[in-house]
Amino acid sequence: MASAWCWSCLSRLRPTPRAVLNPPSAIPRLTSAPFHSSAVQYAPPLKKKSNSMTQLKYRQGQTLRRKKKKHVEKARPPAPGERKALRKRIVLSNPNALEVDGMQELSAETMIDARLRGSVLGLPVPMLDQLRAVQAFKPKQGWSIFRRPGTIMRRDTLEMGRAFDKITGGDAPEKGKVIKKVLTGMKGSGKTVHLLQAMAMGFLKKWVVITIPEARDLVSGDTAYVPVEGTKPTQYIQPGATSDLLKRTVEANREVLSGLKVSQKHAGLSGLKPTSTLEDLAKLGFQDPAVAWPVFQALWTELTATAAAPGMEKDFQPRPPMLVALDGLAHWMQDSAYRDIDFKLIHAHDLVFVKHFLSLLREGQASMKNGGMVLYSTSTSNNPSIYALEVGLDQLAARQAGISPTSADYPSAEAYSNADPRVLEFFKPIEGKEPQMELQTLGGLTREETRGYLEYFARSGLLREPVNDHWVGEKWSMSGGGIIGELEKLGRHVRNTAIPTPQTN
Amino acid sequence: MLLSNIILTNTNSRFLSSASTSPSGTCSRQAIPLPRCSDADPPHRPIEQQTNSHSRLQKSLETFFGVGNHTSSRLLARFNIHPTCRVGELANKQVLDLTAVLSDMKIENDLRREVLNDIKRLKETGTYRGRRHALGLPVRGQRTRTQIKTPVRLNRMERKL
Repeated sequence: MASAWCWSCLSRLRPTPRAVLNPPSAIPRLTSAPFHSSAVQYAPPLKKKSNSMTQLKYRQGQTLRRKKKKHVEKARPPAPGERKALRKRIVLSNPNALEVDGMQELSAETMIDARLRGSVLGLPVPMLDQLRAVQAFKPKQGWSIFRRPGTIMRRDTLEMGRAFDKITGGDAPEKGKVIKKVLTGMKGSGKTVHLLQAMAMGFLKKWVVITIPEARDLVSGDTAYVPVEGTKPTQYIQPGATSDLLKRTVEANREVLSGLKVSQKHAGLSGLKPTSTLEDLAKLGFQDPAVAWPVFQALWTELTATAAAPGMEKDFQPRPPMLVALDGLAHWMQDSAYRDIDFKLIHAHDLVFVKHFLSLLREGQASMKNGGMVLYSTSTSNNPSIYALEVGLDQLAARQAGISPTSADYPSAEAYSNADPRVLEFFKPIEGKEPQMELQTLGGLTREETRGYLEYFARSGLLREPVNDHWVGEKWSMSGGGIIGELEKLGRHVRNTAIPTPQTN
Repeated sequence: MLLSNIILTNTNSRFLSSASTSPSGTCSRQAIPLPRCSDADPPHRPIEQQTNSHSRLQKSLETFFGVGNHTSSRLLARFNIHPTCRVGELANKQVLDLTAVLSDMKIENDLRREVLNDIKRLKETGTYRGRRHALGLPVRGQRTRTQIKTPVRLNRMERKL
């Protein structure tokens, strides 16, 4: 638009007479939007310019912002402890599985019967409660696929049965001896079930069965710990864990413990009468975890006593042998999750509970004077990797193979490997503490045992295949040479059997 | 004995006296209104300090301003309390010990006041850091082109904690 001023003289130009101009119309002239023919006044009101910059506050980021989805509670979460109970639930029977005809039970006779090698024996029903009490069953072991829980008699089982038989009684020279073993083996080779078989045999032979079903529970920092005054390095008592151990032991061994009377003097334990049974003694530790450890010590003294204290001989009965079983030994060979006052990690060997049970492996016959068996198993499913333990077990195997600790072939920790010296020390042989600990490595089943095991699956209605030598051989190879956990997977794998086509001749 | 009793007996926490105990002597759950640093300040939003006997002791300790993972885990180790201990599992002596230590520590309002005073001093002496605090900008040399939500939110003339 031309300016109303003259640029040369800066005088006001005369305005054009109105008459010359077009008459003003009611509709204002459009200066833009030539595509529209409708009047501007009918146009929708202009929206405010939507510039994202103008909406932002001072110095706010320009990132993409999305509305958060509202979290809608769909169902109530399960009550505290319910999930864990479901996770730890143990089902021992499957009513849909067939009952196996002629299945024998584990008993004092059958556990040493070599003819039963390769057959599956049922666990006696009254014993199941005891086995549950010592937490012999683990949740993922596949007990729930059969009609009733049973275990296979393999070579190791029969050997163990014979050992139980000899230690318990008769005229065998091994009566009252101690066997101390560390169990190892591949994943699924049956280490935990071997422990279960030992416990079952212990119950059958009226032994006192003491178990630690999860070694990790003692060192994971989940139970209380109390330092012992005046010890150096400081030792720690675990009252809660000891109380649990006493509960397990009493529940499983009530019959044996209630038949034995207190035979020693226990100064620290008030409330103990001369007529009290060992069950009463152990029960003192339930109610008050603070005295659980002294009670356990008293119970241990009673169980290892060979004679009564003077003046208490009246009701003394010889003490039965003991079985001590532990699962997951590796957890006890490293620092625990507990910390001392200076915030340093406490080594597992400084926990009194752990130390006591580890000393059973080291101390020879003296720790268990009435004989028994100490079975400590490593685990492959929940296992910290500890180099010193590997070296220690290798050394144990080498000693068993007859390699002298002074020879060059004897395994030792590599330089700069930073192996735990306390663990290495633990596996060193001690002179004069016989019997020494042994290493037992569980391998696979033999072909005959495999056949018996798979036949049990077939007879339980789980397996619909003709169990013949060829087929068993195939499965034996597929399971890495009879690794029983792998065999179980193969056996329980239900297949759709091919329907034979009718032949039309 | 509950952790709330620690709070009640904490001499440091004169502002926390609104916590009330039930007739049985145990308080299961309580709302503790946080203190004001000066009377002119607007009141803080009360936090729900749910210290029932089933809550973890370490977590309960960390509800104190000025007690984090580092301090709480050392506190537990010092009194031989296992890491997963629940408040209800504590023995009387352990409660008393913890109370005594907590009352000596600079936590909650004292710590808040100290931090605010530090910032105030920076502002009053006219330092660069003080200015950045007042302007709502990052104080320690971070870039300002993006990612300064936190200073924008927190750094202002009347700083709150």
